[in-house]
Amino acid sequence: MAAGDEQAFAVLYRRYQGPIYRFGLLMCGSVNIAEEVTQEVFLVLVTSGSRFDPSRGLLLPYLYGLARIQVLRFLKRERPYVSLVDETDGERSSERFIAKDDPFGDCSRNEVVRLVRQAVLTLPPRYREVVVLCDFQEISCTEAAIALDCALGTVSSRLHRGRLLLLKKLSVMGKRDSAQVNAPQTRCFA
Amino acid sequence: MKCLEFELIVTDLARNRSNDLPPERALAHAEGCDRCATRLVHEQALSYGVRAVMAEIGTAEPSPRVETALLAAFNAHFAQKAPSTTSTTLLSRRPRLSFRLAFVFAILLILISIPPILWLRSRSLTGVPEVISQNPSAGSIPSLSADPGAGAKPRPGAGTSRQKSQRPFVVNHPNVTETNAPEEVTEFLPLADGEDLTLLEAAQVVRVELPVSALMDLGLRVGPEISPGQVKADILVGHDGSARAIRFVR
Repeated sequence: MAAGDEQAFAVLYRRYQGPIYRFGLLMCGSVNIAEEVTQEVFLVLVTSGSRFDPSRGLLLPYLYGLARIQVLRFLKRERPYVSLVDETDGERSSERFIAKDDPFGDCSRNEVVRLVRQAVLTLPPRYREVVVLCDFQEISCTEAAIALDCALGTVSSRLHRGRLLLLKKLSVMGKRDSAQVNAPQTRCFA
Repeated sequence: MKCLEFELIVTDLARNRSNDLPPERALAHAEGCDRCATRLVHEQALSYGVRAVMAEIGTAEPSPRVETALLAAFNAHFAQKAPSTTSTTLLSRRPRLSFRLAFVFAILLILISIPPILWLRSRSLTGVPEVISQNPSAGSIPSLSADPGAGAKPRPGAGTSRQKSQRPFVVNHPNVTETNAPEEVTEFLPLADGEDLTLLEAAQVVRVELPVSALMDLGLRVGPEISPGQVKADILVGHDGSARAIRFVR
């Protein structure tokens, strides 16, 4: 790839695009930002790929590190704005309305997915990135430490704290949702 | 098993991962401990949620236009790079070189600026007292008498604590050391006719050097015995910043 072999770059991109895109998606909750993050990461790899040192670790943690920098930049930039459109499901939103074998199961699973993704997005970024990498992307703490450029102990403690925070947020959100469902219906006298 | 040990393996247990400790022991502990049982249930729920999310987005990929754009960028990058490899390496080295030069220049600048600073510091410590006019304590007015030592007399009716805080008014001049003889000063002459200076709430005395011609502008008569040139004077400035009175110093 360093010699300008387009085919090699395409192979490398197809191998790693998925994890990087999903990392961006889980970190930002936006399809557009996740795509931008993926694009930026591979652009950095093209322009300054020589910075990658194989003796320090594998390519995937390095790419996660680049993705993390881009995500934090996007989060900082997008902080003042609130999305009017729920684009968390992006192009697949229409698929939600197609019932499969078990409509009730699909419905409840969709609800769980929505809750978990919302809860992840409300985590502070330093916990969110560790939880996303270790729990969702299932990379080891050692690789996460390389990606985040911090000590292994820091990753472990953040992961533990992040999981507890996530559980807390999930229970709060679950209670809130059930309260909304159980709320007495107001009658319209119009 | 203790709760602490259980806490260490609860995540692996909820996700059915292998661990050093046998899961039977952990499950047995959870049966006897309500807190750990709840913790395990929560962890299992979280694990279920994580699996559901990954099942949902596990195969998600960016749209093909990203790949197209990246391949175009890749080709453009290498097409640009190919003709002049040596020049690009030189260009990439240039910022580092300029950074080093800037660093050396900064160090030199610091080294050059240290001796004058030290010299100025030593001069200010051993040398002349600071140039200033001191503000007589708030609420008091310098004396209008000609005695410079008895500068700030307390106003009648002022409290005892005020009196303690008031210090005799001294004016230092940059060219006059404290060892010199005391200056002779005149009384304060109000600049506005009929103004009672004792009514001033707060005032500040500012040492100035005026040309003799300026005295005439202030409405003061200048006798022939005063030689032309600069005259030293103290101006009494009110809290509103306007000059209220003047006295001459010799």
